[in-house]
Amino acid sequence: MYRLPSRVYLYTIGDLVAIYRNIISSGEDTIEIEASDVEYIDPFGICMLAAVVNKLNEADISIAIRGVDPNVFEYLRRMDFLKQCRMDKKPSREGTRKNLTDRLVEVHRITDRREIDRSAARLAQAVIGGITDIRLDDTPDEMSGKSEVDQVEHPLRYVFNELIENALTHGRGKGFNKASAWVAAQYYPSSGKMRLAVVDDGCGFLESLRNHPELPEAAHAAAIKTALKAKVSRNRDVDLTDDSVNQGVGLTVIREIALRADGCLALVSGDAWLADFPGNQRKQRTVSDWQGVGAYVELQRSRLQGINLVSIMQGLPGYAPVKGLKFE
Amino acid sequence: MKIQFNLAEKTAPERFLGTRIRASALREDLEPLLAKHGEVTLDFGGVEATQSFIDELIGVLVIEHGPEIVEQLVFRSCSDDVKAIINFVLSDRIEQYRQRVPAH
Repeated sequence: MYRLPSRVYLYTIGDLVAIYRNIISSGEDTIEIEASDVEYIDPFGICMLAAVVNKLNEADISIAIRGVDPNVFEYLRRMDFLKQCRMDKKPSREGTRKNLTDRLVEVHRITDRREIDRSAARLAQAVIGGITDIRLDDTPDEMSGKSEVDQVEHPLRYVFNELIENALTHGRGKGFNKASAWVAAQYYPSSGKMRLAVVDDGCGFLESLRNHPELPEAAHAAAIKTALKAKVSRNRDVDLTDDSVNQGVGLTVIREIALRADGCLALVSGDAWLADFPGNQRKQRTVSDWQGVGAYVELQRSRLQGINLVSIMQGLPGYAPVKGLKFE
Repeated sequence: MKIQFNLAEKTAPERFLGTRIRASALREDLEPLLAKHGEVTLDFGGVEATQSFIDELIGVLVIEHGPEIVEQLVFRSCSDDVKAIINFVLSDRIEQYRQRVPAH
């Protein structure tokens, strides 16, 4: 019997991966996961749970999930990724738990790069749909020229597009060409926070950067830190034969958006867990080894409208107005 | 002759252009127009884009054809965000090209 933690979220992602590793190393082909302690699942937790269940299914391991809170049982049962599991709910104890259903968002899996735009749009709209006090008319702000919805939607779309693009391009390098991405997002009205997550089962940062001269050591934590540096992963090979080019600033821009929105960017890859917060605060842990990348972004909704992409781009190393560009 | 390349029309109903795969397909349409007509006006009216999209659409042109290709491009109705992204993408790719192919 394997037991999920009470909170399946950013800070317990490593515990979830440890359960997966223990199941694989046990050699068992039928396992039970006890979920009766679960009180909270965030988008990162639900994405990683989906990825883990998928990996176990691929390994022909039969899964039963026991003791699911009655309030979330029907909700979880609707999700495609749990259809291959047997799932039992525990007896209802009225009044002992809050209804969690409205805090959870449906996770979905992306396998085709042509689905990225549609998925990113769907997620952004799901998040915005949870905001009850946003003006849905399209009246643009005089200063920015954007409507209130645009001011929230554009940074969200930017973050989602770039994260999923990373998962399905870089993640598919080094022989991991069947890697998938699991994505989810949620708006939390009480705190005004938006939480987004993308988890892939691709090659991970270390394999992507293993031969890069700026990687100080062959370690997952070092690889994450190197990937966060602007332009490190830029292709220097300009003998292009396909569309897999990269300027190496995607994560840098996402991190800047997250921190300017009073949020955070957290990355998991291999045995490394790293989270950046405003004020140059960084937390780092060693966790159970995930083959791939998990990315988590938190944004404070009230700060999103002040996000200025122009100043973020102008702050990137090497930015310079190009002489002779013709704008009409 | 200058010819129009309207991104909103080509990608409707999508208003946020985010992926390299979409930009790559558009670039395949754009390159023959540049070769045939000399100058092309890229109309970004009504759309926003990511750095990845812009890089795949026009950054790759610089890598493939050299910085001179920029002289054949006119950018119309860009938002401030898109203008900033275009400037970053092109300055970065021109620098990269010149590192590889130093001026004689």
